[in-house]
This record gives sequence, C-alpha cells and structure tokens, in this order.
Amino acid sequence: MDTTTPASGTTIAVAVKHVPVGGAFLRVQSGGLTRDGVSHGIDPLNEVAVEWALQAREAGAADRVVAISLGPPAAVDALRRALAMGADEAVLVTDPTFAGADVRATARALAAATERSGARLLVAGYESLDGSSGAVPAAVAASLGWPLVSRFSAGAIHGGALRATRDLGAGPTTIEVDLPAVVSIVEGHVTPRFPKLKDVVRTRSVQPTTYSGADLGLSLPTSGERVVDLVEVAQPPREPTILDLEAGIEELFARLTQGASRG
Amino acid sequence: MAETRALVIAPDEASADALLGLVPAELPTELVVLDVAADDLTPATRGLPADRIVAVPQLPATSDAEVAGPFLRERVASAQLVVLDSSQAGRDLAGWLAVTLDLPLVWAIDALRQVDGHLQADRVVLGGTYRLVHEIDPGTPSLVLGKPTQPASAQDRPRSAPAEVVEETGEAGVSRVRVLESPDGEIEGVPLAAARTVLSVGRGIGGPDNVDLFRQIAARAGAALGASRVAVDSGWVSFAHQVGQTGTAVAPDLYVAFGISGAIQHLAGMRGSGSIIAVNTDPEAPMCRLAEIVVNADAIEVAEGLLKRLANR
Repeated sequence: MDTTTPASGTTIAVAVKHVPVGGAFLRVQSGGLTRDGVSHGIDPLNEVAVEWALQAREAGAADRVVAISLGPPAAVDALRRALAMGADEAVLVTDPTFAGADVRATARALAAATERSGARLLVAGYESLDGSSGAVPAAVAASLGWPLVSRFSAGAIHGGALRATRDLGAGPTTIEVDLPAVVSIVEGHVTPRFPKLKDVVRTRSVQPTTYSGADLGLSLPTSGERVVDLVEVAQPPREPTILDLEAGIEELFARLTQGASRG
Repeated sequence: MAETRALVIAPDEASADALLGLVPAELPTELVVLDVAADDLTPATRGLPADRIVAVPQLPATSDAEVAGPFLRERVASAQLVVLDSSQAGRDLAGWLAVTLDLPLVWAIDALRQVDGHLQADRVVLGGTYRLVHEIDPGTPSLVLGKPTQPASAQDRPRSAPAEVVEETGEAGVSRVRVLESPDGEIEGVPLAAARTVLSVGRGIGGPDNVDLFRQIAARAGAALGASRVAVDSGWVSFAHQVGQTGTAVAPDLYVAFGISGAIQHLAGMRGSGSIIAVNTDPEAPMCRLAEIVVNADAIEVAEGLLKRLANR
C-alpha cells in the first residue's frame, strides 16, 4: 500500500463528495428522506479544489494529487471525475456501517485516509452542495492535529508553506501556514478544467484504492442523535403584488422610511 | 437526570440576541459573547434572558478554532446544549469541539425544544418545504449550529432576575496560521444578524461597481446590506454580507432582494422574514414566488430612483 508515495516532494489530497446534483438534493419517500432516485455527481466545489491542486502540481509545488472520498460504492463516479481531470490516484473509504456517518465519523475517516495517502495538504470544499454542516474541514484538521485555513480563494505553496487569501467575514486576508495543513476552498477564483473525452474514457473503469472502516482502524461513535420525524411545512399560498418601476420605487420608499421611524 | 444547561457562544452582541432566541426558555442559560469587554456590553445585551453573561474581550469573533477552542472547551464540556452561530468561524469551532470532545453536531437548526426530557432540534430541508426533526439522547451533550429566526429580544420571555455579567480571561490556544496582511478597517454598516431591515444584492445588480449604490440606500434606511453567494464569491462584497445557508440567517421585518433569483441555499437563510420584496426582471424567479411584492424592473433603475427619493426626503 502507498508504494507510489514519493520519498520526497509534496502530495496534495483533495476531498471529493458524490452528491445529488441538478437541483433536487433529497426526495421524500415513505415518510423519510432519501437520496435514491436523485441524480448524483461530483460536488462542483470539489472540482474547484481538484483544479487548484492540479495547478499546484503543474507549477511544480507538488508532485502527486490524490482524490479521497467517503461514501457508498457509487461515489467512485466522483473519484473518476477527479482522475479524468488529472488527479494521480483515487481512494474510496466505503463501509455500510458508515451510512449516515456524523461529522466526527466523517472527519476521522477522511483524516485516516489522508494520513495513509502521505499527503501534507488536504484541500476540501468549504461545505458540500447537499446542505452539509460546513464543519467537516475543521473536524478533519482537529483529527489530524493540523492547522486549518478556511475559505481560501487563491494560494500557492512555497518552501513547505502555503500562502493564501481567505475571507472569514472581515474581508480578504493574506495568511501563511506551514504544511501539513487542512484548507477549505471557495469558488470564484479557480475555474475547473473540463476533462478531455479520452481521459474520461481512460478513467472510466479505474478502481480506486478502497478501505473499509476496519482497514483504517475506525469504529463508528454512538451518535447520540437521530432523525425522528419529517414534517411537511405548510406553505401559505402567496399571490405577489406585481409593481412596475415607478410604483415599486414609491412602495420601497414608503416601507423603508416607515421602518426608519422606529429606529 | 442532570438538569439541562444551555451554553450560547456568540461572536457579537447581535448574534447573541439571535442565538438566544433558539434556546428553550425554561433552560438555565449561560451566554458567552466574544470580542467585547463586560463594560462595553450594551444595556440591550445585559437585558437578554440569560442567567449569566460572560464577556470574552480577548477572543476576536473570527478567532481560529485552535485559539478559541482551548479557551472554551471546559465550559462546553460541562454544558448539555451548546449553541453556536453558523458563520465560518462558528462552524470551524463546532468541528474542532466535535472531534476534540467527541460530541455530536447538528446544523442549520431553526428551532429547539424539550419534549419529555428529550431535546428536539428542527432542520429546514428541501427549500423550506419540510423540516427534519432530530432527537438528542438525554444526557448527551450536543453541539448545535443555529439558524435563528426570531431574536430573544423580539420574544416575550419571562425573566426572573437580571443576568449576572462577568468578564473572563483565560488560556487561549495559539494559532499556527500567520496573518500577513489584514483588510483595512471594520465592516461598514449595520450587522446582518438581528437587523430589522435587510437590503440584499445578487447577480442582477450587474457588477461590483454598482454595490455602492445599495450601500448608500442601506445607510440612509438604517438597513443591513446582504448579498447572495454569487455576489460574495465573485468578490463584489465581503463574506460578512452573505445571507443563506453558508452565511448569516436573517429574519428581519423587511427583506428586499435586488437582482437575486433565489437559490435554495439563499432562501434557506431568509425565508423567515416578515415581508419580502423582490426587485427582479424575472417574475418567475424562485425569490418572486416567496415575495409579497415583486417590483418587475431593473434593479439598478429601481435603486437609482429610490436613492433619489431618500436623498430628497
């Protein structure tokens, strides 16, 4: 295992998730939510992460990019997309007992797979498309004991450190962190490449390195919380009033000045 | 069974009010407000329905989790319900605490209640058409990332005594992330959390050069400036303004959406607003289906006309 890990040089791991795409994230089925019957693909934000890692490799700052996913066997599709884009290897952590894994379990699995890959940098999306907690990158960083850089948009690796721009709410900030580190990326600055058809064909039947929970020495924590109900929310029927430019300006003026009088 | 105690960790005073609004009124509650000295707390914050308010001036609101985490871990470990905000710093802190203290984490929670000694947490899913009800085992401390819809100050909550207010300093962690260059100055204008009027901008305003027009309107109307993810990710406005699943959840009396079509993630963060007015050239946009009034016109033309009216008031 991991015989391909270069003795020197930097490996970048990229977390990719197989998510419901195309608008519908979940479906209601016999009183519960299901992902069955909803079309799935790689989270588009993960393509941004893969692209950033590939560009780092092409710039000579890394020599290997490994895509890592935690999910059902079908998640191999998301990994193959990363391979078609140019990732060197793919790792799938899949285990039926991990279905519905919570933030802790997800983070520990990704952390263990990252460690095995020999990577010194894990790049993740800042949240996943299917309405995630957005807390997994931080939880992976805590599992690995590595520092975390959230929401970076652009950055480069130089001499064992990452220098990047991030925005946690106060505006763009330039930071630097020594590797190893976990980072989460936002959209907007890196445009993912579209894989060439020949690369899609070449990677169509590639099998990722696959680990079970036991392979990684993981056991699922007792979650302490569960979903007990799914309740339909009554939607009041709404027929909006349509206003044109002039009437709209007057209405907005009236509403905004009325609000101001109350402080 | 041990008495359930709630701990609210808020990055600022407005968020404190909003997050407290989620905590079931009957629970003894401790409120931690970051980035403020006890002497600087406003009377409004001091009047919030908490038993104890802990001001922590040494921790900035956007502290790294490895800085804030060690400071807060003991306090978190001894609470049963820990409510954090859904900002990136809040999520990072929650992730750090979940792994470090081995706690379950639920997110995007817009309601919490006690049912027969169990804590239930509601998460709005499928664009607000359904809510997922989580039940947390009694005695299991848990972390909740809140999406509050009604500030505590807007609820009629009985209070027995004024909150005890203390200031604490302690052992914070050291960040391994070096800040080389910070943005100048503070975020301008009214903060989003707990704002009573929000004016938000999206793709339909055309570009970054037009943002200032909306800033001026917001300033004149005493409103907070909000933005869609597209406007934030394109760099038109900073992340502090993002409304939605990822950014700040808001539930103002009035929400005006300029040129925002209404992605599910955005709607999730503002659908609890009292009145929604959509300014959009596409009356079929999801935002317009949620709105009470649709101004079917170009966002810039409306904004220019509105600013003129406000300026001549």
